Amino acid sequence: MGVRRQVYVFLIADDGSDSVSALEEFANKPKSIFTSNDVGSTKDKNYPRASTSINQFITVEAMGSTPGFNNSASAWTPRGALNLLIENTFFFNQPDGTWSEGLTGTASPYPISVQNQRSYNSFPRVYLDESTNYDVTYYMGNSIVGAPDNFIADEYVALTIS
Amino acid sequence: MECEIMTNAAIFKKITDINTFGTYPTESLEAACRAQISDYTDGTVNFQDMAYDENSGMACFVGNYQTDGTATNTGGDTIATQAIPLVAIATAGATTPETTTWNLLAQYDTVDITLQSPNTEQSALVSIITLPFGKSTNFLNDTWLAVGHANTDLAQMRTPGTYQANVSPNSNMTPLFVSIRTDGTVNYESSVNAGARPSWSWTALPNSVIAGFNPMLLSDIVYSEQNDNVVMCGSVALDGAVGSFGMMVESDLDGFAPLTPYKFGVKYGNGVGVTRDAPSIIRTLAIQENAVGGGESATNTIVLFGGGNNANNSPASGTGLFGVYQPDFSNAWGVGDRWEGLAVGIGANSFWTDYIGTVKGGLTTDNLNSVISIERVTTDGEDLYVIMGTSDNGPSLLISDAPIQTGPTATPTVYDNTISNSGTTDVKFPEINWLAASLQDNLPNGYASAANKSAYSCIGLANRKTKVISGGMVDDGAIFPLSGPAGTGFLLSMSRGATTFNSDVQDNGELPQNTASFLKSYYIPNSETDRFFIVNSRINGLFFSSPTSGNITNVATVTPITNNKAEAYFEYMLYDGIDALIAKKLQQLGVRVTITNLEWYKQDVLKQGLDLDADFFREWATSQTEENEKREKLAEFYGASRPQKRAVRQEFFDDYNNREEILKEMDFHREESPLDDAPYNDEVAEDQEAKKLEKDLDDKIRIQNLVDEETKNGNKT
Repeated sequence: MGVRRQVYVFLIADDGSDSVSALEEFANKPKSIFTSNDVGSTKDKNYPRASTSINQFITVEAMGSTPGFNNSASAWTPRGALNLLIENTFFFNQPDGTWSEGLTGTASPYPISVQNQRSYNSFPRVYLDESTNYDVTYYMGNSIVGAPDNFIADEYVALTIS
Repeated sequence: MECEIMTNAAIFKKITDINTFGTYPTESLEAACRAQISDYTDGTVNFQDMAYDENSGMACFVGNYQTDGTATNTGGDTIATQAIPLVAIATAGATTPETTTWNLLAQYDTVDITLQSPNTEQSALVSIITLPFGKSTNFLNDTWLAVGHANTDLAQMRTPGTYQANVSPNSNMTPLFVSIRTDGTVNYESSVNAGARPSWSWTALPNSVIAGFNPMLLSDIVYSEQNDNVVMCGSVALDGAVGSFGMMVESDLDGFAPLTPYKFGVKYGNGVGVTRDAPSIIRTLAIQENAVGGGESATNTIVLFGGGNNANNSPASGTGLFGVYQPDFSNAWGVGDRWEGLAVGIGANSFWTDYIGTVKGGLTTDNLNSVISIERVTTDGEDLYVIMGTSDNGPSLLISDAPIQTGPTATPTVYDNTISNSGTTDVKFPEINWLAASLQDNLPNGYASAANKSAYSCIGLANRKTKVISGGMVDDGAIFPLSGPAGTGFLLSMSRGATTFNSDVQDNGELPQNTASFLKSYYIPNSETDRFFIVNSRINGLFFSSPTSGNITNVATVTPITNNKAEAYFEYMLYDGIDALIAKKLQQLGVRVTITNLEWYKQDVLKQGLDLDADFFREWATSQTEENEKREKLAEFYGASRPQKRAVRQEFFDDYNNREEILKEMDFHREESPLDDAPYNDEVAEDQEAKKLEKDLDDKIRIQNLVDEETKNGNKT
């Protein structure tokens, strides 16, 4: 009963606790921040899809994720974006209606710092009525373990010294 | 608009989940040495190499320890204080050093009971390989093969008067070869006990002159799976004179039948009678058995070799040995030999000057003084030769695509992966690059420009698809010197394609100990987190500073990580029960759902004294709770793990029975900004006043009607 302000923080880290294949599998597709599963999937998790109860009403107040777009050898960034999935409709779409990665961490960073300020201030009110299935998805464009490079070099023919 | 997406190469930046022996002197290895080796000198165990057997889950480490002078050999002779080659099998818990169970096998019978002079090398096993499971007939039941060398008195062992002791800088050593089984059985070949195959019984490879040479050191071994045979390398000493040569050895041992000798040949002498700092040594091998098309072939075995042809380490000497070797068992040598050098340590026309100098623009001081290690790395999905060594400008590194192609020099050259036995051979590196600058730029301080440091090992991580390079101090002219340069080892990550290097792990203090002379790394197969071994070793092990604390010799298993992390934050307001009902009402009214607006509406309802009072909401909520409980019971009855379904609810009032009123209110509020918290109070008051007047009027009319009706009825009576 009543009104509660709640926060859900999701973290994915390459700290040795997950297999490399699991970390690689996370990238380049929207994943539920509640279950880390693919959208709509309950694979390997005994979680039903998130939904409001019969007498609940949710208003989304804020979303944000680790900022950063480009990678360098010394500084990794996730190129991450958050999106809301209500029933079977994504909240953030492209202007032509096709799927979008969502609200990027650069536009709406978390945590906010001097260097990373929110540029997306008027976050639209999103209401989740009772008995509504919903999900919050996180799309990470850059693999957290990096992308394997290939050895590329020139041919060279050497002559032996007999 | 499309943006170019920059990606970072896969590398690791830290190691975690570090499992080590523990703390000296109670660590698992030191404790096992004291318990199992009665003549063990505390703190002297030192590993030089290891190999992991995927089939048994066991690991075998080789190296040596210092006996305290109380040990006896099989013949009952007391062995003087000296280094004893050691085989250490991790029979259980191989990948968790803290709890490893050890089977330690000191090789007493491989060394002479008296320490001979010159004594520049330590008796030890220095290189070990794991045989592919179930593939070998000649080494049936053996799991590992290891090589090294042992202190010996050749002048005494051979027919007196026909042989003289080695002369410095050579060492009085004899080659040592052992095969090891998981049950602890060790078969060895050493000249010391005048066994079936002492080094003086070794025969010559075809067309090789071996008279006057004494096989001295073995430093590496490769197994030919296609031919069930081995190739080994090392060094020979001239009989009783200053002078040494690199040595290649072939033998299948024929199931350890004593009639099958080793065959050896010698090349790359460093000058007869010329004073040298160290002997000439071929110290490292890597093997390929591929036809030009890539398929495996028993007649296309090629061994890359590397080493050093010491010339007193003079500046810009470029004495590194590098070449290709085709075993006689693969392709019969016939009238010549199939052993060709690309860089033979002398002269200007060699691989170093032609490729590093002319093609890559390197200086003469970039020429390799010694090739310390050549490894063929395949586990990360690339098939590459990693060639590591020393130069006057610091550690050097070359990487080549594998397999390479060879063919007798012709116009045009036909590459058939054979090596000419009568002329020169063209060696085609499909892709090769010299990466010394990249390596040196990423080494910790003090490593970059030192001529006595080198990378020792390179492994590929199967899942991360990246590489690990480790190394440290090296003595160009020795395999396991009695004394050598002091320093510490290094570990760094290198991307699979060698475009990116990272030494962060070096600076974060994760390495199990920093007093080792050098580090080697070994991959643990089938590890989802890419765990690997780090072996800490001492280049001059036995005379390392007295152990007092910490880990002296150590093995660690570690997990590489990047420590990259991404976070997401989701904040929401949950309205429950009555508040959810009001929130929905606000939504229907087009009013922004906030706590302020919700409280306003709640107060407004109460103030207006509408039919819906607080009791109504309580009753409604109680009913909702009861319904929820019923629904949950039903859910449990049908299985709690079933996905939540939309509940059937009973409506206690119709949302649309006051549709007109709601529409009026919506019209009224439509003019307002949704950001406004509430209507003005005077509007509310006016609205309430109007309703009161309307009610008063209705009451008056109803009262008047009742009075009129009663009056009419009274008149009737």
